[in-house]
Formats: sequence, structure tokens, C-alpha cells
Amino acid sequence: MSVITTSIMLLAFVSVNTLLVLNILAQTAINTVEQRIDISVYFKPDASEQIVAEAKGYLLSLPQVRSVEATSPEEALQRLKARHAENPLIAESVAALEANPLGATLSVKARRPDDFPSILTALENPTFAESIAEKNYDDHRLVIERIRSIAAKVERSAAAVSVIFTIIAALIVFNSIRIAIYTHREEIGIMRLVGASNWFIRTPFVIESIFYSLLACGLAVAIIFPILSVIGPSVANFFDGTSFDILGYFWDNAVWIFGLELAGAIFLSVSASALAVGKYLKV
Amino acid sequence: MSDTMIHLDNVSRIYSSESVGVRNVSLRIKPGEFVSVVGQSGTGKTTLVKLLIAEERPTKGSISVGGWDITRIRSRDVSLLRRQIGVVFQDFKLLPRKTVFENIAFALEVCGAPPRRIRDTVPHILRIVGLEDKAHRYPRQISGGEQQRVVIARALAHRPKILVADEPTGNLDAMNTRDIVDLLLKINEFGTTVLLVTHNREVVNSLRRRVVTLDRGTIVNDQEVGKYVL
Repeated sequence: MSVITTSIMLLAFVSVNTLLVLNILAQTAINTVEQRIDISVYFKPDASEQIVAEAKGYLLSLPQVRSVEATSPEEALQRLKARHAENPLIAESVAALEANPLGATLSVKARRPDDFPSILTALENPTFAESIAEKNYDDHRLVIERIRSIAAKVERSAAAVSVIFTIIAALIVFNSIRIAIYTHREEIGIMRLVGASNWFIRTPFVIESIFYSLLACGLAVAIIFPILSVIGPSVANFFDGTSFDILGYFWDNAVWIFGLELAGAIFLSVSASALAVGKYLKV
Repeated sequence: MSDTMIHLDNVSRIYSSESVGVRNVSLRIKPGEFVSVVGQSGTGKTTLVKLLIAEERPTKGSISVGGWDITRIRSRDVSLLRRQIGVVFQDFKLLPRKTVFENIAFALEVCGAPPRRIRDTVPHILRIVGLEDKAHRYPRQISGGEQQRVVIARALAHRPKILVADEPTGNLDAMNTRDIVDLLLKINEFGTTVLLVTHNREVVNSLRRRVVTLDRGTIVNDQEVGKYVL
């Protein structure tokens, strides 16, 4: 019975941690996409450096703007040449130009995806609106919403599985204690007869349920860390360009993660055993 | 010191209209008395014992033990009551996987007695019941009479004011019965109030002590030096 109890509690621990991993991955995916969104503001070739600097300063003063990266016309041309260095046709065409046809560029990153429309409106400022040739903005909100939607569905499923395992674990703890009380009924009867206090009789059963939680938590730690070390590289590759270490995250927050989960498990199992003791142990 | 150790005042324990444990029982037992409660099977003797150790509560009336009103005793106080009343049953209720010493020590352990007190007390009690040489035997390795002595020893572990023995000789032959009765008398001589519940006519008649007779849940006879009259 104790094997079954510990196993079900272990499954509850694993499913709760799976839910946690999914939550972290979904949030990381959303953050990654959000960080890649920007508005590229292309200035006309004849726009002065002062206008570009004013525009940059203005944008940085907006609370919605997280960063503004400026690229000068010369840098833009160098990047164009570098990008098409292996294409002789483009290289020759660029070389044939007498003047730099590219203007300065500002790459604007917002704090939240919802801030982009207001930033685009801000760029209508007459001080520099005339000098802007083009504003390029890919609306990634649809992608983010889709990630959120998928993540929410997966999380809901994982949460349902966790709740089911948690309920089963509580019921099994309840049943284990009930059986333990039945098995020890003779000893309990004698304890009562010779004047053992209620707490003296009840405490071993409560401690037994705490032991199940501790054992299941220990086993969960022993299982989850090797799994994370195996899936860690795949997860890191998935978020190309973003350094994300799921194993490191669990190591750094192990005390919090498993401490809270253990506290929850102990609360649940102690409640279940107290219920069983109250119901079946008439002391 | 109060002149009453056990006082039942008009106590009834009614399970249903057809099933009555005891009805309108009034009984007063003085400290140091040896009282036999007799009656045929189903007359309420065991109900009386259960009421005294608060395993059951009276339907009406009041019960006090050593001046303590236990009529509506709280669950958490029952353990305190049972440390004042040693109980001996016919079916021994010994733990088979514990030795004689451990069975007696168990009564002290469950009440949180320190190991030193247990080491000092248990051999002393074993000497009283004459089992000092069988301390490390298991219950299955000793006779029925000796097992009942262990039960009495366990009941004495807390130095109770009262010893209640419910049919303690029911499973014993004549020789062991005599030994157990002698032991109860010896305990009574130490000042412990003894309540012997039995339907053994020879035992009751040989004691020449107070006899309370129950019939259909009521006291029909109470004699200072009585005999088994049913």
C-alpha cells in the first residue's frame, strides 16, 4: 500500500513539475518573440543627422519604448555590401552608385507588443515625419496570441492531470491510513485501554503520511533533474538566439519549487490522514 | 480524602427500546473496597465496566470516579481517566510480538513515561505479580494464568486508584483462577479499590466481600459480605 501511495504522490509531483516546465517554456517563447519585434524607421537619404538624433531622443523619452538603435547611412551601406558580397550583380550595382542611396535607420523596440501602435502614431510628429521614408512593422501579435492560446490549452490539460493525480494521491493517503488503522487496531485498542493520549495514538499516522510526501518528493527530484538534463539542450536549441537553461532554472529555484510543492503535499496528506484518523480512529 | 471512590447516581445506558445495558443503577464504592459485581450473561456487567472507563456514556444519571464527574467526560480527558483505572479483561489483550516486560512497559511508554522510570517500575510490578523470571518470554510462551498476571501487571503500571477486572478468570482453570483472585486480594491490600466483575460462583462465595448483583440491567442485591445468590 505504501508503494502505491508513494507512486501516486510521485506522479502528482511529476505532473505538477511538467505543468511548471510547460509554463516556463510558453513564457520564454512569448518573451523571445516579443523581444524580436521592432519597428524599423527608414529616413530619407537627405535627412540630417540632427533630425535622426532628435527622432531617437524623442522616441527614447516615450515610456512605451524600451530601446532605440540607430544605424547611420554608411553603416547601412556597409551592411548591404556585406550581406550581398557573394552576389556580383548587386555588388557591381552598389559600386556603380555615386552617392549613398540609403538613409539612416532607427530600430525601435517596445516594452510590450501592445505599445507599437502608439509608437507608430508618435512617429507622425511633424518635426521629423517629413524626413521618414518608410516605417516597417510586422505585427507579431497574432503569433503571440497563438503561442498564448496553445500554451493555455497545454497548461489547462497539464493542470487537469495534476489536479486528478493530486486528488487520487489524497484519496490513496486517506485509504492507506484507514488500512494502517485497521491493521493496528489491536495495538490501538490496548493503547486506549492503558491511557495513551489521543495525540499519542494519532501522531504516528500523521507522521506516516508526511513520510509518504517526503519520499515522493525525493523520488520526484531524483527523476526530474535527469529528465531536465536530457531535454535541456533540445529546449535551448528550440529558443535559438536566446540563452535559456531549463536545468539551470530548476537548480537555481530548486528550494522554492520543491519546497513549495513539498509543503503542499504535506498539507494535503496530513489533511487526508487527519480526516481518516478522525473518521476511523475513535479515540 | 473523599469517602467515595466510585459513585453511580441513577445511571441508565439504553441502546434502544429493546436493548438496555443498565437501568437506574445507583452504586457507591468506598476507597480500598473489594466489590464483586455478579450476574448472568447479558445483565449489564460489562456495560457497567464500559461506563466506568468512559468507553460508553450514560444515557442518563451521573458517574464520578475519585470525585471527578466523568458523566460527560471530554474525549481528550479519557486518557487521564484510564491512567487512574487499571482494566483487566477476560481475553488478556496482550501484544503477541512484545515480551512480558515490553507489554508492561508499553503501558508506561504510551503515556510518555521516561525510560528510567520504565526500567525501575516494570521489574517492581513483575515481582508483585510473581513473574520476574518470565520478563523476557512472549505471551505465547507462558500459561493463560501467567498471561492474566501480565495483564494485571500492566494495569498496575500507572499505580491506579481502581482496578476493574472484567471476568479475569473466565479463560482459566481452577488453580490459575485461585492465583488470580489471590493476586487481586493482594493488590486490594495495598489500598487499591478492586471491582471484580464475574459470574464465577465459587470465586465470589470464597471471597466473603461485598457483592453487588445485577439482573436485567438493574441492581437487585447489594450485600456487604455477600454470596452469589442468582
